[in-house]
Amino acid sequence: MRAGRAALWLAAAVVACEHPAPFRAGDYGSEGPLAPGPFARLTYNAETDRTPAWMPAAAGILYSAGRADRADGDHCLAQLPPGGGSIRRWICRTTASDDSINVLDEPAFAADGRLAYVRATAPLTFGRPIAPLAQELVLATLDAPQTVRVLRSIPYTAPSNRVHQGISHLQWLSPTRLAYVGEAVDYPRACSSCVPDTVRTGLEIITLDFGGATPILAIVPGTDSATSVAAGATGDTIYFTRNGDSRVFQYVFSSSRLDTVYDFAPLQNARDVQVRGNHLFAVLGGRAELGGDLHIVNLVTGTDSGPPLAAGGTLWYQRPTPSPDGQHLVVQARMVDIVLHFNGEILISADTFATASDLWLYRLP
Amino acid sequence: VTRRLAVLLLALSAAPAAAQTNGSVVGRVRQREGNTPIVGAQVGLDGRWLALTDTAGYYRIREVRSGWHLVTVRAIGFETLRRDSVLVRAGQVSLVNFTVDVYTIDRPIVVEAYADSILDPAQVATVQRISGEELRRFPVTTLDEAVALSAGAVGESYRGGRLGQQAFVLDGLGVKNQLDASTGPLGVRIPPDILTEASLVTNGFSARYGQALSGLINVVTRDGGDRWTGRAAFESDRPFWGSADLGLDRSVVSVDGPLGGGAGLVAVLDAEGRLDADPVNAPPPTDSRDPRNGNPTLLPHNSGERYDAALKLRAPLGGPHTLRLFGLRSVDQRLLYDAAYKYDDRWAPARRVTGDLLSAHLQRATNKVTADLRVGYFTREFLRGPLTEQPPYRFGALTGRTFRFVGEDVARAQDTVAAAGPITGLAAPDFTDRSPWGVPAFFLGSGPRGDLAWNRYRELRGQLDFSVGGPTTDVYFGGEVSRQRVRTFQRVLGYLPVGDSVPPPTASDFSPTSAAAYVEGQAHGRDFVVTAGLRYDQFDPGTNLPGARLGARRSINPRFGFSTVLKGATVVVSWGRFSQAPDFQYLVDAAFDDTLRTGRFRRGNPNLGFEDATQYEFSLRARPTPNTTVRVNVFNKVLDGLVASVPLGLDADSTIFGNLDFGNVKGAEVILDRPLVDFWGVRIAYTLQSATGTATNAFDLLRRIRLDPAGDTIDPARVEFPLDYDRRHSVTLIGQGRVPDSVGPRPFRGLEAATIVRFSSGLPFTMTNMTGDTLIGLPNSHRLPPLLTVDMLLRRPVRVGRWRGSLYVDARNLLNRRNIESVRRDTGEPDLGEQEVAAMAERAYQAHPEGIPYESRRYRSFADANGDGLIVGHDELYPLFLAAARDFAQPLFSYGPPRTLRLGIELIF
Repeated sequence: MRAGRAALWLAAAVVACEHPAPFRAGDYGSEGPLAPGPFARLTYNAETDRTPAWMPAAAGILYSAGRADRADGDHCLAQLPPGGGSIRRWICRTTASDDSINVLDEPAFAADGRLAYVRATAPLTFGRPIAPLAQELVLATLDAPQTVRVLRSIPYTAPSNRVHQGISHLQWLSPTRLAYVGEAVDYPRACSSCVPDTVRTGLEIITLDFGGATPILAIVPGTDSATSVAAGATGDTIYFTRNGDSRVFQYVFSSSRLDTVYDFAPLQNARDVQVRGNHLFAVLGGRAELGGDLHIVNLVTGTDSGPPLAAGGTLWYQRPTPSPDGQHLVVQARMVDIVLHFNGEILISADTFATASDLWLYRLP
Repeated sequence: VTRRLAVLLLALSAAPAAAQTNGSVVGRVRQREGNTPIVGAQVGLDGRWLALTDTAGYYRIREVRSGWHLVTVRAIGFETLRRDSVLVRAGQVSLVNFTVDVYTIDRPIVVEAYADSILDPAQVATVQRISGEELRRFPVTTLDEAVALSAGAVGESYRGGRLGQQAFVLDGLGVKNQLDASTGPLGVRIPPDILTEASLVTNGFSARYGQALSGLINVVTRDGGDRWTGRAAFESDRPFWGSADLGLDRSVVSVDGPLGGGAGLVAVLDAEGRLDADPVNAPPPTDSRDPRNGNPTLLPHNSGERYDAALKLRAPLGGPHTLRLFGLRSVDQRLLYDAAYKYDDRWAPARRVTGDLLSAHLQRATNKVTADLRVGYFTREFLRGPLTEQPPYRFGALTGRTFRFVGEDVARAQDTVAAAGPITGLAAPDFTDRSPWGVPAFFLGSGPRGDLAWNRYRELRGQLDFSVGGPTTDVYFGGEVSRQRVRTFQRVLGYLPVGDSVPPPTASDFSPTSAAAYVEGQAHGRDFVVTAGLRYDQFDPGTNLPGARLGARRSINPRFGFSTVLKGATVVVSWGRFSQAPDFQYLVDAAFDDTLRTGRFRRGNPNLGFEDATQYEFSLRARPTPNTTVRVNVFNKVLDGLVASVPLGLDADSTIFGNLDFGNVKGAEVILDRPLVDFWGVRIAYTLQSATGTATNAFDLLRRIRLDPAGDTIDPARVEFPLDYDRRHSVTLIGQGRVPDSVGPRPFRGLEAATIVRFSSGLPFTMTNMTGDTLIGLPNSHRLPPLLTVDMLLRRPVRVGRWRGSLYVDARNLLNRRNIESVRRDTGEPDLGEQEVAAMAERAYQAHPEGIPYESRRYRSFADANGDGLIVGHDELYPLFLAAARDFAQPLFSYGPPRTLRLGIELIF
């Protein structure tokens, strides 16, 4: 009997024991940048990282990242933690056979979390294509980014009767209204055997209202030759820049009023404008396709400053994007080396060598 | 001697029990005074009066089910006698003599009960049996493990045959997975608790049974008893620590008892879950970053659970009729470890095999004629592919829910049109970034491999058997008809649409018909027994199978046995021809393994014929002492027309099946047995065997079936090589002991122990060069190292209130020996070799030389030598690829299981 009772206790003890768990893969991702600081580099990609966008409530940064690990040269949307670190998620439109280039670009979040972006594809059937075969502006959610509503196929003929071959600087004005820069895209070759370049020329700013079954396009007056656009705090205002112009303009939809917010003269060619609170962000100088100097203007005091110098070389910036709370700025930047060619005392030319652009995070003062 | 001779003569005069499920009870009823025979006494079995004694006082009851029985005798003027617990074993004669007194005289009853299958010359078959009680005492869990203890068994291969060359007979009804027996499980498992006994018959089995070349697994289940009893057991390795806890839990509940009116019921539920259902004793990884270092023996995504539920009802229908209904459902679900998905195992494949068996057995038994009508319905479903979601564990590895597979509905519907597109829910796999090495190589994630396989096999079988007993001759005859339905579906790379590089899905749906008839007679001389039988088999794949030209295939199989007694030993000479239909999987286009080769193949051959074997055997059985037996079997088996694949046309990857291979198995078995008597027992079985195969024979041109109208089949080379299961030497030692209840310290009283030691020489394997395209030597001309395992079970009886029970510890591979069960063909070792690992790493690096930036989840700071946030170049990247290659190339499944322990508690009520 004693042995029997012991057996019952033993049975109870056996059932109460837990089995060990098999091994699991460790978590090898990192939090935060490699070299933390007020101005930190977030990405080190050998391909181009571009068009960053803050997720609602600054929950993360979504950007278009070149896939160096794929032979087809895809660009996917990558999600970074807000403070940097390892990519948490890839959003790709990739075919398993690697027989096409698929590019996801220009992500923009609505306050409710919906995601608009541009997707383009081109087959690799006849070698590396120059232009995309199909391009679309689409609406999706972050949970199901591949389940999309196509808002606009590209290219299309705008109400101005100009053909838009590309769009950029996608901005949400309201839950059913977007604004962007309609562009002409050209692929000139310096010589017959040279690799063609891609030159994007801003034509005008478009609003797209997709509240109805058929999205409606409209031209924003006074935005001819626009190069960038930014939404104001309410959807009633936009800020924009124009090609070759040092000014940043403000347009109010309700009053149809056009004003100059800030003039960078004598500097020229302001672009990639953004406004958050009292700060205005814009890029000037440099080269349009490679970036330029980043200017951060306090609209109250009128002071114009820039980010600290980066170690290792000169940075050229593109697409500064302030966080929703205005505390941080994520910006696309690349190291550049400018080589001047001299013949005796006479400067005859200058070449610019730049790496692929990466993302940097600037904690605003 | 006189007494033994009398017993033998009596046994000879009695009807033999050739049927494999049943035995016979024979005996003589005499009056105590004067020893005169009592004529016309009624003899009953389990409450039914079935026989009358003849003028010499002899009686016999034939076709008695294996198990324990009550034998009763009554005669007018004499007292009624009962002999309880008479053990009848399949194929044996149990002798029960009665000496009775006149009713009015009160004297003790004298009853003799004796059975000896060793010396019984009527026992022609070579039988190795294990009872349900032994199965409980031995360190074995399943019926397969128990049968594997037999001499000549290599796992589920018997006497050199490949998997699937055996037939399974449950209570006299044949059950076989005719679809893919050579590569897949039967689908149903008999819970050991419902067994009376199981036996392996390797030659001379009755002409009643076919569908087998190498052996017959004969299982007899028990009927419900005359009082309610039960057993509940739970065993687990939870109490053990470290690598000894492999996540095992097993529960068994069985009850049996009367339902009234003579009916009885047996019900068994057996459930087992294992977190690692296929544990391996592989060396731990060399790199400390490999997470397997934490628990080298417990692999993730390798769990399994199985549920077996059996129910049996016996209902006497009055008079000589008895109806038995049996139902069995088995579910086996496995998560399958895939090294490529080591770090992203949610995409690794899983498998589910479900089997159902329903059978009815109506028996009419009289003293002269016994008729058995059996009807069985067997269905088996197999699914393999990725799961829609990973199942949550509820208790140990038991999930309690049915696995759901991606594309399961498409597969079941055999919708090849829908399956031509990407299968919904399947994403393309990509190199995972979750490995410790980060680099895009070897290890996959993001999606499964995209393979989906489904098949279902159904069979409805009717079987009618008669046995007629005569004074010196017994005749058995009968036949069976079975109608099958085979449905298969297979899709590979399911995340891609069918195209140039993606083969279309394959599906088949056809209904073969099989039939057989037999007649067998056994004649008894004064000191010999002659058994002769003839069996006719045929199968027809049906007309709905694409490409089928031939109709029914037929096979005539004679069997013959002669046995006699020479100087106290029984000598049996037997010869038999056996045939079995090929696996139906070889009739249709699919990708499976084949008989002798391991080449790839695509095309099925609906015109395949029977696979055949002819076996000659000489057996000697003796009983040197009352408690000791010796058996020696020498056999020669010729295999003919085995299914193999050969190249078709000029495309090396295009092959077709044919009845092309031939083989020969020669061997000898020596079995010494001392049952558990006087607190100890031992059994030693040694097998010497040579199994060779060849792709041709002298009658090649006559026997070969024309394969293809184009006639471009390439003939295989004329070579002879060992068969896959050519195990030359194997020794199995089973020792049993029990401490008497009155001896030794209290904790050791009643302690039972059983030990199984197995030693066997290595199986053959084929070596190739490093590219795998050139054989080194002949196929199977190299040998694996020998295997040694020691298993032990210790059991201590306990009492809990009125209930009996026991505590037991079951240890397998007690010495924790690292047995090598397979090796790489290119190296002849489990390991790939450092040079080839380096080459693998270099190839992987060349495929992905791109740098890994800091923000990538592939970034590993320990590899960023200069700390610039970018792992780039050969110096920084290659060490990662090398570590990944070492990790991936770990030969886990080349090794046998490690030491496993389980603590069991059982209650018998």
